[in-house]
Order: sequence, then structure tokens, then C-alpha cells
Amino acid sequence: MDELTGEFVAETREMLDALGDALLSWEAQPADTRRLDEIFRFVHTVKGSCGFLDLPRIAALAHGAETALANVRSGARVADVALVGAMLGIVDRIAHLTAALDPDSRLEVPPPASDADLIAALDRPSAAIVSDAARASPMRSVRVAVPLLEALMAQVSDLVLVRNDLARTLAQRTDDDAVRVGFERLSAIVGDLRDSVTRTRMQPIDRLFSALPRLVRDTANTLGKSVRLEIAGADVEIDREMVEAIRDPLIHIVRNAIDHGIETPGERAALGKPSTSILRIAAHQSGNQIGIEIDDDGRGIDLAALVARAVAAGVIDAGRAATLDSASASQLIFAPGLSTRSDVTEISGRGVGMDVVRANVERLGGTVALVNRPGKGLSITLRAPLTLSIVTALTLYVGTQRFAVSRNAIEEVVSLRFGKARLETIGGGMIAVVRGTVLPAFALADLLGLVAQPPTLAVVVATTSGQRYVLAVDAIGDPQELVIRALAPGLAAIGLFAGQSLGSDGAPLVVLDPVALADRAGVMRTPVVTEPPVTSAEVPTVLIATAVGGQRIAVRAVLVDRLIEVAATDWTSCGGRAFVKVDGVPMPIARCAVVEPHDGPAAILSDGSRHLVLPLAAIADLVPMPSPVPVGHGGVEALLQIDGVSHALLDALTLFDGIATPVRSSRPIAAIELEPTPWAQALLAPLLDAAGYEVRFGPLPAAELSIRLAIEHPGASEGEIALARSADGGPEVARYDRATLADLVAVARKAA
Amino acid sequence: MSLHLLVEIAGQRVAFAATAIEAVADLGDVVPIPFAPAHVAGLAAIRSQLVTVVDASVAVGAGPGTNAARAVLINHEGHRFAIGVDRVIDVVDDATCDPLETVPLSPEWRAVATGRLTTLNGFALLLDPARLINPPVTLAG
Repeated sequence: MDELTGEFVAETREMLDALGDALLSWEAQPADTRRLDEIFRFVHTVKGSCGFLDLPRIAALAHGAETALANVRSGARVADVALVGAMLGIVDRIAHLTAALDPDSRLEVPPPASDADLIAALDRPSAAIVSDAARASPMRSVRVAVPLLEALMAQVSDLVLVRNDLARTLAQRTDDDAVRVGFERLSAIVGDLRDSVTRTRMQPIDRLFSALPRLVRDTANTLGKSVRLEIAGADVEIDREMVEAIRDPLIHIVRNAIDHGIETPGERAALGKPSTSILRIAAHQSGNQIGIEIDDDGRGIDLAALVARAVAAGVIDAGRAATLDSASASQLIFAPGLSTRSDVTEISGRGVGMDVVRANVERLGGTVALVNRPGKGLSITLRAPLTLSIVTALTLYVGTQRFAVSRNAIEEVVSLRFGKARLETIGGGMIAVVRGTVLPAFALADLLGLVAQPPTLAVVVATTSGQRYVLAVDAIGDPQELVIRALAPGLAAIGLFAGQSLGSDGAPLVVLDPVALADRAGVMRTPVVTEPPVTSAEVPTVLIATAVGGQRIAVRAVLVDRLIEVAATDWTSCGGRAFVKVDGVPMPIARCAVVEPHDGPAAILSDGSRHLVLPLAAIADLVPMPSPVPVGHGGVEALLQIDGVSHALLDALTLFDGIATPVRSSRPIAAIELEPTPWAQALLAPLLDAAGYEVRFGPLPAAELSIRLAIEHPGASEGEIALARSADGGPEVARYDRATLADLVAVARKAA
Repeated sequence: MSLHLLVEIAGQRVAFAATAIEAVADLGDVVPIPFAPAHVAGLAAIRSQLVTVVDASVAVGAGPGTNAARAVLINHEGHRFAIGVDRVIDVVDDATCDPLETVPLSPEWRAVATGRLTTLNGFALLLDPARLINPPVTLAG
């Protein structure tokens, strides 16, 4: 969907939302024509937009409605129930067709002929109109109060706990297969039920983002600024209640960015910046948190002015102000009652400051962080929990006690026994060396004031606040799904725990909060920086293994997707290439490793789009790559000396040579081998798209349909449409003959 | 005349109004919580539900109680608590309740008691379970 159409869809949707009341009251009292103006304005606006966008169906519908309404307004016609019904039918159809413009909607489009019936119904005294609203069953929804959902969630959580309890009891007391089978079935249904209920609470953050284009446009217009909004990650799902809770802080930050941060086009030109500024809003999920970054390329925070205002407002004394570094100074934006601008504006001057934004987000259990780039822009990151009340957790054993911790926070678990990792005490503190990386380390027993044996496992924890540290524990249990409940207030105040839960064995578990533990232990938070990370000269890691032929080989770890076991029976050979089935799908075997079918370990390698299998005799370890001795032929990139043995580092280029990139799209490709002129982009491409093609520009051998100029490729064959500009004297198709074009495409599609 | 539950806490006969409590249950294993306030013994699972276990003996200033096997369950502001008691004595419906003025009490007891109950078998202090959960008197850990 192009930008203009997208805007039209969003705008029409908004107008339809606003129109709901007017339609309802008109429906209740057809004679009451006071709300008519609103409906008239709607169809009039839609008709106007359709003229620009070449949407003849919607335009015809809107035109019909407009004519009928104009007659009612001029008194030439009396509004009756039939007219209202017909009008609702038209509005519903417009809504349906508009929604169907969104390629993601997958809505079925009603046949064009049925539009005429709807329009004709406007002139009939009474008619049975089946409105699209009634037919569009996949879109039906009901409103449910959030407390009811909460209750449902709590009851399902209890149900899960009772099920777990019952499972233990049954396992001890009965051998009756009928009971066991019945219980297993019940148990599976309870699991499904829990998943469904969890899903009812989740929705794409798009619901929050969809209002932003309008907000940004209106705000920018009011202030005479030129802003382009870029949104990413709109499909991230979060708790629906969280959507509501984040809305105000987000809107406030966006308004602030446009009002305070972004300069006028004139100022930007003077500064040598592009006159249109870019506001980027990106959502991403990390662990059980959602992060929303709001990033502008405006002037950033004027720190000198901010500090001066803070001193004037008595937030900070002048002596202390002079010693502030820029990061601390920028934090003053969160102080109550401060703003970097002295004039209160219509847009942001609502008495709500960043202090309120931060307080609101923190109340949700989230954080607000900012990175100020004076003169270049400001990045603000909102973080909030997804409030998923069910998490996958690992159990950590310390002495006689055990604690749960969300698996998302755990990067890896390494034994302290076999030299893979070690703890060292240094200056009263502890550090862990895990495969050459040094991390701050803490015995969980010490952090929790418990007595325990020397730890045996190093748990590498990475928090959403950017902390990375090692927790040393005695043992670790299997992952389990836990329903996390809030602790009683007196216990929550301890500040180290995320909640309580019943483990799968029915015993209570205290759930650790890895961020709070790190804060208590004094682990530095790494500031959230939105600048693209600078590629550091970190030593790459390689997987070392023994090839099936016995050679010692190494593969760059970034290429290793995962390690699997393959069975000889899954091998097959086709077209001179060997394949082995992985998850039921044949995957090519690396040419350098083509051997007789055998059972054994293998590595799946991936370059991001292509995958292949590298069968191995034995997998040894992941090690930091020593300095290579370049080789560069025979499929070997370099020789590596590891533990005194030479390993051949396989060359990625050779490995993936000759493996085709899978076509990810399930849609056939249509290649437009023409210049990407506005005509080709705005007319031809949508036409092909509508016919079910994925449209690409330029010649593509894999394309199912190619569109070329007839004059350059006379004699079009099947799977090709040769177009001719009328100026070239070509035979059939004129460029603007939309109907003929559509027919040609449809015929080609059918033939394929 | 209302129902009261008579229990023994720290060797004392005390009572709870039946309306203030949910149930009486056996107390299983209690999982201690690091850095918890002294009167919180930990977490327990009772009938597949998580409860915060309160050591009533500590809450009334009498030091840690012996391992309580029985507990009075209450629901306070949406959280479930189990108040561990030495033993459950009786349920009475014929007790009369008088104000506390005439009873000389230690500050800890006074903080959690709301009245003096007269039963056929003698006196009992009427306790407010919500105050046992959050003892107003600062307890020395």
C-alpha cells in the first residue's frame, strides 16, 4: 500500500469512527436531520479523495450517497427508514472496501456489481439490504471489560495450578488408564485455554501507533513544521491494558519532540539540515519488556538553558549545577516543573511535564531513558513490561533454598568445574571469567544473605537494563512455566523479587528480579544508546569439529544456526547434490562434506537467507578465533592453530556457493522490466499486486510474469506481457487502458 | 451475638471475629524469604494457593513461635495470608465483647487487639488480623 492510499485508509477509518454516533442517532430518528451534515461531509470527503487515488468503486458509492443526501438537505426528499438503511449499507461498504485496501487485511472484496444494488437502493422506497457489517464475520468482535479479562486470567491461572496439583496426586494414587487418559485430555485443554486467554489480552502495538500519523501531521501543521514519521515494529504485541497506559506518555513525548525538538524548515535550512525532519518511532520486544524508541533529528536539549532554568526554579543549587556532566544535566528534564522553553505553547504547554511522563511509566514498572545529542536530536526510550503474567523460568538452587528467575534474563549457564568458567576474588569482589570474557560475579547466596556451599554453576545474566553479570549458584532446575503473582506489599518492598509463584511441584517459589539484584549488587547499567552500534574489534568465535573424513575443521560461529543429529535414512541425492531431511524438509549438504549417508552430528549453517547442513564426525567446542594463517583456496579460508593442532577454517563463500536463495514469498513474482516511472509504480504495480503477484522491478529469471516493452521484445510468449506505448505504434495496449491491462494480467495469472 | 474463633498465640487465648477470617487450614512447608520482615515466616501453598505466612508470635512481640501446624487464613486487600497459631481452641457464639481500657497490655499486644472477649471459659483478647499482618509497632529483626 503506498503512502497516499495508506493515509486515505487511516483517515477514512478515523472519520468512520467519529461518524458512528451520527449514524446511530440518525438511524434511531430518520426525520432528525441535524446529524446529516456530518454524514454528508464524510461522503463528500471520501469522494474527493477517491478522485485523486483512482478508487472508482468507492467514488461511485460516495457519489450516490452524496446525491441522495443533497436531496434530503435541499428538502427535495424526505429521509425515511429505507433511506437510512440504504445509507448505512453504503457507509458499511465504503468501510469494507477501504479496509480491504490494506493488503494485510485479507478481507474478501464483494463483487463490484453488488455496489450498483446498494446505490440503487438509495432511490427505492424500501429494500432489503444485507449490510457488509453483518456479512464480514471474520472481523466481528465484542467489547469485554478489562476487569472481566483479569478475572478470567486469574481463574485460568488457578485452574493451571489445580491441574498441576491433581497431576501429582493422580500419578501417586492411580494406575487406572481411563482416568489417566481423561486427565491428560483435560490437562491439554487447560493448557490451550490458558494460551487463548493470554492471547485475548495481547494486541499489536499498531493500535497505539495508528493514531500517530494524524497526530504528527496535525501537530506539525499547527506549528508550521515539516516532519516525516517513520514507524517500525508496529506488529509487536503487548498487553491491551498496557496499550492504554502507554498512550498518554507516548503522545506527550511525540508532541514534545515536534514542538520543542524539531526546528522550523527555515531554521533547519540555516543549519544545513534537510528541511523535513524525521521522527522515528520504533517498538521492539526484548524479553518480557517492550521498548519504544522515539528518535528525532531536531535540536536536542539545550543543556545550558535547562540547567539555568533548574537553578532559577530552585531544583538544584548553582554550585552543584556547575559540576554536572552532560548526562546528569539532561536528566534535569525529568525534574518537576521544568521545561526548556519559556513560552507555553498550545501544543505542549498543558502543565504536563516529562516528570509526569516518567512517573506514569515507572508506575507501570517501566523506565524512561534519554540520549541527548545537542544540535542533532534526542532519543527517548520508553520501556515497559509486557505484563505477561506467565513466564518461562529457571529454578536456581542455593543451599537449602531455591528461587525462580525468568529464562529471558539468562544468557547461558556454565559449569565452574571443567575449566569453561572460573570465579576469582579480587579486591573483596568477585569476577567471573567465562570463555575469556570477564564479568562481575556474585554468589546468589551472598546477595540474599544465605549460607551455602561454594557454587558450582555460573549463570550469565543479561538484563533489559543492559546489565550483564554472573550469578554463582549450586544447581539449576529444568525450565518451567510459572504464573507470576504479586508479592504481598510488605514483601514487595524488599525490592529484590519480581513476584511469587507455585512451582510445578506445588511448592512456593520466590521469583528474583534480575535488574533489582544487579542494582543492589552495584552492577553498572549500560545506557541505552540508539546510535547504531560501532562494530568493535571483538575476537570472533569459531566452532571446531572433526569432519567426517577425520580432518580438523573450524567454522565461524556466526554461520552456525544450530547443531543437530542426522540419520542416514534421511539422506537423499538429487541433481548432483546431496540433501538431508531436517524437520521434514530436505536441506542441501555442503559440497565439501558430501560423504556416504551416516548417522551422526551435523551443524546447520546459515548465511541469513540460505541454509545448509555440514555433517561432522564429532563436535569439539566453541573457541575464540586465534590469528589466522590465510589460505584462500580449496574452500579453506585460513588455517588456525588451536591447542597445537591445525584446523582448516572453512570458507563461507565456497560453502554456500551454488545454493539458491529460497523464495520467501509464497506469491509468484512479477517482474516489471521497465523504468520505474510513476506510471509503472502507481498503476501497473498495484494492478499486478491486486492480481496476486509480488512485484519487483528489473529483469528476474525467477519471475513468473515479465512485463516488457513490445518494441524491445517482439513476439511475447506465455508468461510475458509485451506492452507498447501508443507512440511506438504498438499493437494492443495503451498505457492508460486500465481494463485491458487488468484483463491481460488476469489471463497471465490464470495461465500460470 | 456473633461467631468468634478462639486460638492460642504465644501461649495466650486470643480470638478472631469469624467475619474477619476465611478459613482454618493445616500449614505445610513454609519457604522463607530473604530479608523479609521478622513477623513474615515465608510463603506456603495451601489448597494450591499461595499464601504469605505470618508468625503471629513475632507480631505480638513474643519472639519466634514454635513451628505452627495450623493457620488462620485471611484475605487482606487482595492478598492471601496465613496466620500461624499454636492451636485452634474452639468456635464460640456466646461471647460478649468489651472495650480494652481496663486491660493493661504491652504495646505489641495493644497494637493488634481491638477488644476483650468474655467466654464461658474465661477471657480472650480479640485481635484484628489485618493488624497482625502489618504490625504497627516496629519489630526488632
